[in-house]
Amino acid sequence: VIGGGRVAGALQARTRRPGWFVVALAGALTVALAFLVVPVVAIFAATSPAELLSSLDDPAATDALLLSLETTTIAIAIILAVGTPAAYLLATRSFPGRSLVLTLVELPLVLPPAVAGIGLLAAFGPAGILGGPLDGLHIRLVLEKAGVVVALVFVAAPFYLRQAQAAFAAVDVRWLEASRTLGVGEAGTFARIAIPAARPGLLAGLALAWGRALGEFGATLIFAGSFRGITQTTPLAIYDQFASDLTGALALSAVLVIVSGALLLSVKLAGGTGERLGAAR
Amino acid sequence: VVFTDNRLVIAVPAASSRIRSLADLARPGIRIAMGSDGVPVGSYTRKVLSRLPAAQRRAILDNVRSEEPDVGGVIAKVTQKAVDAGFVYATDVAATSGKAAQVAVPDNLQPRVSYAVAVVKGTRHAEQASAFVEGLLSGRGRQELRNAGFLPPGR
Repeated sequence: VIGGGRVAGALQARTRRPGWFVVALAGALTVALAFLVVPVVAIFAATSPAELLSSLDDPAATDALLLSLETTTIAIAIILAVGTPAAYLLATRSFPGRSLVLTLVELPLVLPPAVAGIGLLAAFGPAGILGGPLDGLHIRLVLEKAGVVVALVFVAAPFYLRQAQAAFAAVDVRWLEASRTLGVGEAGTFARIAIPAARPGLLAGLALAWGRALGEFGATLIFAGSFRGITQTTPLAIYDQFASDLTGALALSAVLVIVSGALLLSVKLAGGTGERLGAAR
Repeated sequence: VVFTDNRLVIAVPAASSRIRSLADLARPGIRIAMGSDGVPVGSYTRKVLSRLPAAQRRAILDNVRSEEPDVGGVIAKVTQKAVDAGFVYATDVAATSGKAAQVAVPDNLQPRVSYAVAVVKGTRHAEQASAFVEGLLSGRGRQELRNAGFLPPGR
């Protein structure tokens, strides 16, 4: 706490007399912001609200949006259920090979989506190394909705795992120890102390993973294919329209930006209240 | 000027014997990939299907499991055995080095698949451009196209 105060004090001292360096920082942020915002603005500038609404009349577009919501929700549920305890273990225990496990878990982050799709195909496809056993169990993933979910989980899970691991690692160990001293078991400590304390970080990871899943294109196309109502998610529908109907593609893009933006914002807001609660406690 | 032609074929996984003719595509449980509506291979495929009796066309379309944004996606789904068959160009099957085999689409259903090339009017490199076009129509370019399975233009 004392250390935190000192850092804050130093920051204040620096901001009182902004030198050339601060101006340079502000310049860099302005450039970054302008560059990142321009394409998004362009999508909306090229789409009239009427076109945006009429794109929703296109049954192929609504099918794609509904499919995107369905598959990303299932994928996120799986990521949360498996990823939260896995991240907790990674954050709170040291074991041999831990840093290797951390690297492996984050590996999909740096894989091009096309590589992810080919990898999934080589693993779970009919001709893949696990294709035979899966076929024996009558599980078919390629060109099926389940395959979309598999692709989404693969590409989006590392975003959540990474954030969740960092969030759990930042929880004050003394809280966890206190909880155990007071006779709450490991599972109880995890559920009642660690998760609430790490909530803002977990939600941030959730938002990132969800956004990544909503935008997933390459792995889905290669592994699950593209068919309306079954595997054609919104990004695939946008690409499909892009070839023939740029206006429709732009309008659907705008809708996807709104949905993703709303998601990010709502999770941010939920995380915000969590932080305030945490501060009050 | 049209410099080469191609044919639409049904690609099937090399070891598969489920599809022996176009008619087999209408059988229930068959999985098919084709190009999506907006891409050339997709519109050629639809042209072929439009020449079939309505019931057969519907049965085939009911078996479509993926509409790919390019022909590469279709042939990849075939070589990975994700589908039983896919509509591609004859040259795409030839390029899989044996991972896919082709089932012919009958002549009376074949669309005209041609590739054309032109010299841009008023270009500063008209001479080189004409030489390139000449090369495609004769000599080595022509030979390379034949080797890859393309057909002579205007059959």
